[in-house]
Amino acid sequence: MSMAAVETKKITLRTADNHEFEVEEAIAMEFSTIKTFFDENPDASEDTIPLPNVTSKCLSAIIEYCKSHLAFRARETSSSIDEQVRTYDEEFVKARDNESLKELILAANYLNIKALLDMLNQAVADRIKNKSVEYVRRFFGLENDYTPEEEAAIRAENEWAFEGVDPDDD
Amino acid sequence: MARPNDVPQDILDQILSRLPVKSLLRFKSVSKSWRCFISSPPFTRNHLRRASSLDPGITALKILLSKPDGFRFVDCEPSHSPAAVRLRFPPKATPDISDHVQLFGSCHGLVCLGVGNPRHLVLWNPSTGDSKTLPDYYDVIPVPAMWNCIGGLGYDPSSDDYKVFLSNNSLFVIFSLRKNSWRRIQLDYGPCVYTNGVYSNGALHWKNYGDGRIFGFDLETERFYLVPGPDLVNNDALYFQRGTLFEVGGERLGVGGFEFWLMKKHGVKESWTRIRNTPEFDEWPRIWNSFKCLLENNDFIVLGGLQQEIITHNANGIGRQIKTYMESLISPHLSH
Repeated sequence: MSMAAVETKKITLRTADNHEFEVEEAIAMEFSTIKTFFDENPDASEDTIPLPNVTSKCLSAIIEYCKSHLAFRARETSSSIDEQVRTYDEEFVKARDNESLKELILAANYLNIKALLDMLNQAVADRIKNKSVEYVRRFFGLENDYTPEEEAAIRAENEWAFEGVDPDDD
Repeated sequence: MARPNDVPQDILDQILSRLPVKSLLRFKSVSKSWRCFISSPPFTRNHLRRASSLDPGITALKILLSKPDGFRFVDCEPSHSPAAVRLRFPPKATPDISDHVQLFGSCHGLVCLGVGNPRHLVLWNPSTGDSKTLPDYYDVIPVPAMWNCIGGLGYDPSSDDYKVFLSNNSLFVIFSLRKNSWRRIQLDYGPCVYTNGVYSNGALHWKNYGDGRIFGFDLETERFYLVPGPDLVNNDALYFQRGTLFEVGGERLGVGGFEFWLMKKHGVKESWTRIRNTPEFDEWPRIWNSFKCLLENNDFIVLGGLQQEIITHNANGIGRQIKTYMESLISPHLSH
């Protein structure tokens, strides 16, 4: 980011765990929820915006993501930039466990950041696609409401779909 | 009862619609509500739409084989060995189905088969296992008239309907899934054909026997129209079938391989482009699921990649009848 002589406007955000974050306006505008709020309340820009559904851990990751993507977009498009964006996104997701991914998705949804949400949804799809049924239940916190007989019948309908599944190691 | 960190339904929809068919079929076992959701027409249609345009990786090309002891499919994905997987045939199979099975066509992951004697027609999704036996056509047309018929299965977007077309070159019948009935139609203009039509973009396609002109049968107007072909030197040898993504015509050049032409823009004669051909009959394993079926008959299957690479596979002896289909979750039972 360039060090402009003009002071860039900052917006203050307060997370669920009471941390305050000062972010540049450009970044806050990436959160459609906030952008819409300011469009409707132009005089509110000095106020601190409460984000009761977002933790500080999530928000700081999201701010990093938006900062990096804004920087990428400021450069000229090329296939090497696309490659860098891809690598950045992969790294962003790779180290996070399932719970953090879910938290980020819920936060990105609440803040309405479409590009991040799409990227995270794709990352989850990629993560679960070769996994077992049990893994997916654990991931989404779902109860198995089939009886053993019902479940066996459903599995038998599409036996081939159960082959080549990754073993559950986590 | 939703808990604070439960993923909302619209996000679940987003995630699930990015999954391949195989994963979705498996995840029907996650819970009853997942099974209901994954089978629901809005979801299955959206998945098909995404697969056709945004995200071809969520569906795979498969080859359906009809063998003496039943059906199998062969997976074209590179991570799987090309061993044929046994499929359960739909419930109304007669014991000796193999002798009287005709594969009429495939569209959106549905396959249309004629089974038994006299023939029953079945719409079947080999991926999900769902099938629907169609009402018999004997009220509309006498049985012997259709014994040597050919046909096709297609989708009419104007009425959101799947239609089966049967022809013996003088009598023509159409089945509408939405109306669940057959009717005869009068056709004064059309090709003379001895092979099944291939579906693409709201129409079934054939090559006219003899002069090789290409005909499309529009499923909305239920009329034939001419599709301009490339100007090939040797038109006699023109094979034509239309695949999922693009048209191909090819002619055998001497002893070597085929020459392939693609119609890049449907209906536009100038868009016929010659593309490079590969050596004949590559080894089987090298097939990617981004390939689309261009041409198939009982001798060989030709697949085209999105970068216009072509792979041919010698299908001789791998099955009595073969038909390629793209996986989908579409049900043969239309619901509104």
